Amino acid sequence: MPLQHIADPMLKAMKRQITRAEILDLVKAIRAEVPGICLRTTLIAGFPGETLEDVEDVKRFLEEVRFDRVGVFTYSHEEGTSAYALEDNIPAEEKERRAQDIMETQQEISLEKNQEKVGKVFRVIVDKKESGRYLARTEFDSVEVDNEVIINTDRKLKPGEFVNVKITKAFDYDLEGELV
Amino acid sequence: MVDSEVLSGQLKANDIDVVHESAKKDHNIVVVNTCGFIDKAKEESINTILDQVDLKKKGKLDKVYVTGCLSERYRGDLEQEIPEVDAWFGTMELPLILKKFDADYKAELIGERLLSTPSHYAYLKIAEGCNRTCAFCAIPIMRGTHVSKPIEELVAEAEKLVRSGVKEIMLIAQELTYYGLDLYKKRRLADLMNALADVKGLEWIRLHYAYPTKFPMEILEVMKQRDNICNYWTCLCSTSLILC
Repeated sequence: MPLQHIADPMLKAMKRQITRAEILDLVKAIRAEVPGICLRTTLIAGFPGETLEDVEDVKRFLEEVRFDRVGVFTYSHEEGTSAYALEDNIPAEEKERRAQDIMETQQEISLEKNQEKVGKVFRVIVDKKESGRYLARTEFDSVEVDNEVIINTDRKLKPGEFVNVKITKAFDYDLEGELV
Repeated sequence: MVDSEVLSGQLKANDIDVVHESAKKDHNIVVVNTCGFIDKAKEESINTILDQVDLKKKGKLDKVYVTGCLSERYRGDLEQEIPEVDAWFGTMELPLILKKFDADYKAELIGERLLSTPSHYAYLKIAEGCNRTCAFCAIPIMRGTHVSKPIEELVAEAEKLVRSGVKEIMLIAQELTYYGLDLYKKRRLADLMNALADVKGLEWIRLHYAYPTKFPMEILEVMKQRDNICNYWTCLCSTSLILC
């Protein structure tokens, strides 16, 4: 779900037609309806006029909502868009710093969420073999952007095969497990 | 990515040898499919074009064609800046590219693609364009307004993918939740999900890119009821190439 921002002044400037409170309600409603759903979002750092308080607001929201995954991009000033009329007033390095700041908040959350998976069994799809280990994904992980589940086994697995894996170790963005 | 797969499928049907991102340097014509979404993606696209132009100058290539969002958006400037490129195409000019190859656009090939991903998963583009007016976003300039593909067509495409070995499909569009509003005058993502979940052999269906405003809550019901729909929501604008 590409939220792009959380702070109300920014949501308004971005013309997102939604408020922080409405986003919070939506996330709660989705989770109530589908418990255990994996939610991923992307955010933009450094939109024209963004204040440090806006960035803090994003971080507070991430702590509160605890998304499974978050991607942060720095604002890119594009001709032809309505934001092009605004002044691109935040320097590139500062945009990067803010993006990094938000990502660090999420990194801890992602690690904790992954640690909660240790000991649990997931059905995974095998993607490929690399350096003697298999790389697979759970229902909650899409291609290229999400967690990979690393499987060490002597059994021969084929790409596209589904197997059950018990998670033994958790990292920031990857999991390790054994066949069950 | 899906656009490249459709183009390659059409070329192949016209008996033209085609490969995705071949490491070999023995081809005659290269088509660069570009992204024009944000600064980083534009830079990457331009570097790729320049690399190919370099190969052409060294005599290792006959022709370089460029298509996709970047050339849709900046064709005039690019033609002047990189005159070594033999032809530029916009995002809706597939038949014109084929003509350059003396190939015909075959409408009967709906859903026929030469996959660039491993054979067990594939992307399924359910709509093109976006009617939202987010202040920062250049997508509507390059991809136009929202156009949904009909449900039957998408089911047929999914069935073809499954027959070729695909077990997991990722539904993509610039904006999934708007699906159906243009074509059927109402949001029909839930109906589409149900129809796709009925495709035998399709193990996982994954949903990418859902805009939060006016989120159609009925899709959650389908997600819960159908085992082969992953409980997963995302936007992965990360590699913006996937978006285009």
